[in-house]
Amino acid sequence: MEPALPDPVDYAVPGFVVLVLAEMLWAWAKDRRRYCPRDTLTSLGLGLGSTVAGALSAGAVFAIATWVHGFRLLDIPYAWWAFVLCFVLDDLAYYWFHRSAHRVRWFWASHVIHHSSQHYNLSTALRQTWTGFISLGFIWRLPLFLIGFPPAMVFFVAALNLVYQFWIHTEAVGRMLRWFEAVMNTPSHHRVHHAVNARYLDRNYAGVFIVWDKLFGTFEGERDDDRPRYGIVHQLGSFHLFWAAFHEWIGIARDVRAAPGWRAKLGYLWRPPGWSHDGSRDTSETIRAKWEARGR
Amino acid sequence: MNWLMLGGSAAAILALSGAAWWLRLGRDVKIGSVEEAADAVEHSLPGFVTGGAVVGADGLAALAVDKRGERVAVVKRHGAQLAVREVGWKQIAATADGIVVDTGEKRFGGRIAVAGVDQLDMRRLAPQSMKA
Repeated sequence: MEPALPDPVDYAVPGFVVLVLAEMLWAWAKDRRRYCPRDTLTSLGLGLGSTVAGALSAGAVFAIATWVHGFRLLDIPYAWWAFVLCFVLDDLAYYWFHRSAHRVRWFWASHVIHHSSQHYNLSTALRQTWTGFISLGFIWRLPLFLIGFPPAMVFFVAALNLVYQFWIHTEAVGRMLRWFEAVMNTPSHHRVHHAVNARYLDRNYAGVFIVWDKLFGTFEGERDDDRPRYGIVHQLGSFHLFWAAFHEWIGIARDVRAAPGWRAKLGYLWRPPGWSHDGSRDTSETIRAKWEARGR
Repeated sequence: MNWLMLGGSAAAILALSGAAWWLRLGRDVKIGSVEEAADAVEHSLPGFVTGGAVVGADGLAALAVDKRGERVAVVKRHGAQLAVREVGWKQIAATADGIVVDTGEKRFGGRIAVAGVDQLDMRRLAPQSMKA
């Protein structure tokens, strides 16, 4: 008998609203440039759209998860230790999902929405994708079902992971206790992730535990002499809701159509964002190389 | 997700955006100096080293030219932030009200006016590049 697990996000939403309001008051007192009404409206609109898109695809994702679970290696019970283990392994799966979302343009086309604001505040946390199902973001969790974690348990801990990641999208919190910064993802670590500074590009993919970045060589600490600048390399310069949601998909379609030959066409799908068949554009690597050549 | 949650979420979105507007957050932001414009450009365009920049009289847009006078970028105010595009010299035209840059990107704002800046200002920035 499977227990009926609640959706933690439903319970967290009122808290999200109160904390966004509190952060706005902080911005009002400290620096009024840290919020912009149109940016907030776009972020929250994208958040609502993401919830609707998620609800529409939830049935299909759950059906796939249940089907994969049918081939499970172990029968993992609904025990407290299983929830803890599931949470940790789900966070590891999240790290690889997130890393691929920045390194493969097909996945980036969906994830870029979350990075498209030039602001870094709690409303940015809610700026979420509408096309996660199309970009196959759920495949990274399939190994968990194959191991034997029940789908309901995995989706429960995944929601907890999502709730944790809300509060780290802020400039209102500086650095935290040393032990906490060493183990957990924090506002400081995640500011680095959202920054477009050459030093910070494609760093700190962690969801909850920053140890994954330290383990896999993608960690970068926030520096006082290199203040993070937020957004994407090619800033949108627009608050248009649908443009924010679909601009990278449109970019991919244009590039694939114009590319000479299948090798180049496929390159625009699976190569990193910024890759081009003639080398005329910049990727994270070339941006960092130019920055280093300039003497940093 | 049900209709009550959907309606409640939409109401919360409007309330929060309204609160940001009521608190006057992110309003009246302008490009304060040529240094600010140059800083925005150099952080947006890899390898761009600013040789000179000029800010429009209304502080809503700016132009920056690199040290060799070959690359040119337009900066525009985007809400409370600045957004940058590299453009070609052919996309820049002088008008009676100032320089107009045709970015060719509708969503970026299309044609961006750099108010009060004239051809003479541009020649000072990049004598060898501004033709006509």
